[in-house]
Amino acid sequence: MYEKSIGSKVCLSAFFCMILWLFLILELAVNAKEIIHRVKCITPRTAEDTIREINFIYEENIPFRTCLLRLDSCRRLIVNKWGYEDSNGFIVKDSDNRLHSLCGQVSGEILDSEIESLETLAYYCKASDIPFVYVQAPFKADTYENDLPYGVEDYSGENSDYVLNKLNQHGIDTLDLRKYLTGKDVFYKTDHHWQIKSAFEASVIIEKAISSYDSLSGINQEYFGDLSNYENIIYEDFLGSYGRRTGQSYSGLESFTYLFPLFDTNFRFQHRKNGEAVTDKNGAFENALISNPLESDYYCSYMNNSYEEIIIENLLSENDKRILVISDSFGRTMCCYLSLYFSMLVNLDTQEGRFDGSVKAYIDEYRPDAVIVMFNSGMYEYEKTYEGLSS
Amino acid sequence: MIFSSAVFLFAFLPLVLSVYYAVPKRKWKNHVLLIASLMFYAWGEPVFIFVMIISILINYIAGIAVSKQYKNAYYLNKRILIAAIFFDLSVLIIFKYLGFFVGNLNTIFRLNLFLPDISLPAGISFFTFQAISYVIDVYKKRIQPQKNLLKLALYLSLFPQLIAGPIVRYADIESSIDYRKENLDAFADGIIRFIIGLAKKVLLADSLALLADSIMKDANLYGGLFHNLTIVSAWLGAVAYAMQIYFDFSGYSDMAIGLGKMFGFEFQENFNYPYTACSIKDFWRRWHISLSSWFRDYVYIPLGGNRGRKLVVVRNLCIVWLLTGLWHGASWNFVLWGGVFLILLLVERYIFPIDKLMEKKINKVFYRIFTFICICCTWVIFRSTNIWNGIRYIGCMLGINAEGFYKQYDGFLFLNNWVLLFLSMICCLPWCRWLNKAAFNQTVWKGRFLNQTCTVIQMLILVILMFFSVAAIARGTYSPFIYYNF
Repeated sequence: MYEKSIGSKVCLSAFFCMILWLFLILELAVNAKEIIHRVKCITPRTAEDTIREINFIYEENIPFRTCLLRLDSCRRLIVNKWGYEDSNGFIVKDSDNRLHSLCGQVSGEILDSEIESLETLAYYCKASDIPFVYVQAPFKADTYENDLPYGVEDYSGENSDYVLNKLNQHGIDTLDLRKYLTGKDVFYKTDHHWQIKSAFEASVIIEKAISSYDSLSGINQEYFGDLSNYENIIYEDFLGSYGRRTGQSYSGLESFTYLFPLFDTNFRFQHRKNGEAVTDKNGAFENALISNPLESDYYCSYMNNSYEEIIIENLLSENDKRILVISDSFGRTMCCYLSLYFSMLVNLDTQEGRFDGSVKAYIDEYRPDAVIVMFNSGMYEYEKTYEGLSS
Repeated sequence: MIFSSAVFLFAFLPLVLSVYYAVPKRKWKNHVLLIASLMFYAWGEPVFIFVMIISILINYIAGIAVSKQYKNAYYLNKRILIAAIFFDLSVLIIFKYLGFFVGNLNTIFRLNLFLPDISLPAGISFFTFQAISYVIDVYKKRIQPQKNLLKLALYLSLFPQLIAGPIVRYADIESSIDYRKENLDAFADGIIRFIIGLAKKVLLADSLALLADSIMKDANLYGGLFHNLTIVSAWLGAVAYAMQIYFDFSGYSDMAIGLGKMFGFEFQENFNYPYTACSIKDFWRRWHISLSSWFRDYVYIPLGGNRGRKLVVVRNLCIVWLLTGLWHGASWNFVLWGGVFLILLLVERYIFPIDKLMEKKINKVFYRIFTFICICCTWVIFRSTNIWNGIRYIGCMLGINAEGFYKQYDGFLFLNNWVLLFLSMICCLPWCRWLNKAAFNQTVWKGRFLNQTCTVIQMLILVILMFFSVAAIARGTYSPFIYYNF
């Protein structure tokens, strides 16, 4: 075997120790106060929790984290060219370098139980003389003829078709946004959400559909639905949810466009958690409904990074109509634009760990003029979301 | 605390290394290591550290007591030995096997005994076996008892090998405790070993874990059929898991050996390219060497080993493999795993005598492949949550109840991971050793230019591996360490 020189051994040892010490010093520089505070709180009973917290603080603040994440995503780009997997699931890259997660085929039993929950809510609304409509939001892999990697299939379209057909057979009003929102630019390249422009168009389509109900007729729609009445604020450094998981080197960055009304607006925004107000803001659209993005997550800046129970009051509304929208995060952006048309819009997110109150009780209390349930096709894999509808 | 965590790499290790090398005297260096080791264990197990301390104390007392000559009490030494082993095994049984035994009693005899829910202290199987080997070796007069409690505590709690081995015999490091000499060669070798081990763990094992889990997780039992599991995907999952467990465990062992070298200790090798084994017997000479040699020396040979009638040998092998299976986990699938190896070894020994078959080169090639296939099947049982799932999975591998031979999704899995699988296959082979042996000779290596070039290349590779490993740790990669709770 070849012999390593003393110089190389010295260099190697120095490099190794230098790296360890550099990271140690930088970690302590950032985390020392927090760690000392945690250490002071150690008692035998809480030692485990304290150690876990220190571990967490240490690991969350690794020096040069951004560079290291980019380096790791370079590695994944070489090793896993077509798909990226982590503990949160699988992301595939199509031939246009757009990232997708895929829907599996959901069994008829599960879909039937979800349909049953939707129908229970629909019939409850009908009994209360409240119009109900189920809105099928599109799913990314289903919006265009994308060239997914060999062997990969997406069943979001099939799952949605099954649900919509059954609801229609049982006389429940549905609105299939997939017919209107097609093409590559409906969704972000690096995120699982639809683009702001798509959310805006969805709000216009939904408003047109529900304005056919007697209780909502006569609402002025065209002005709010005209894109020329909005200004585009563009950011070029958007890294979506998939991109943050895979790393920037794997996904690349893309642009994000806010649509802010050019006309006067005045809103009151409330975020409630377990019935108590957490956020209460007043102001124009871009001030009341949108906050500073966390870590360039511009999408989630809509509705002030909040979910569960959101109440938006349009203080300049010319009508007194109230809308209840039950949705996932797709509704976060759509509802902001839909709220332009009505005096009040309430958005409930019934996904697990979010709004867990009674939807029926909510309807009884607020007496909305219409109830909209909107989920994207990927949500069929999450039964808990639908269970909450019939509570 | 695990070696591939930020707290270990960027807090514990640099501080311990610095304090250790700053302290001048051997005695104080040992104290530093002992305190560091206890803190290392307490960090992961703040309550169970006391279990380890009590175990150290009892074994210290037992070691001294068992070495003494007692007047008019000829068998007292033996009784003390038995008591010490009983204590050590009781600790292990209570924490690791009590729930399993009670659960089985409830099932078999339809009782309703209280099922204890006891957490498993990390590394208990390793330090318990080390303690048992120490007391037995003292009894057998292979070693002198350690009269210094702190030195014995250092041996039993030394952090590089505490959590996941290798199982170190006291005789191997007895002289190192007092007389080891740290030097640049060992330190540099230790760093190389540590970086390679870290890379194996976080770059290979953790990535393979995602592939193996995605296939094996999809293998849900659905009306007797493994949903979505074809023959190809079943094999892909089994091979991925075989690679995962190898790099996971051997990577950790490499890190342990590397850390030992940094502090002047030389631990025995624990792996020797096991997937190049040409028989099951050969596999167990290459896989987890410290464990298999422990069972050989402290169970198999005392029972009689190969001596005696065939039935006696078979009995001895049954006991060893039952215990080997159980050591890995308190579950029937581990017992079955041990049983499968027992059967394979008996077949090799008595039905198809391996030594004779290996005389022909073609047989060697064939049997290497066959051995690897058998090993993959055994890992399926090892990984299964219960026996029947494991058996059904193997059935799928053989075409029984599989959902066809191949699906397009299998192609995607393979194409998406072929680089990883290729690199893993390469890293399973002793190509460095082959290169040295076949292509180069001493004269060539002595050429200065080639020597320097190789050194530079090696340094570059190590630097790249180090940065990529740290990047993977930063990513918070899914990192299940399989042998952590043993």
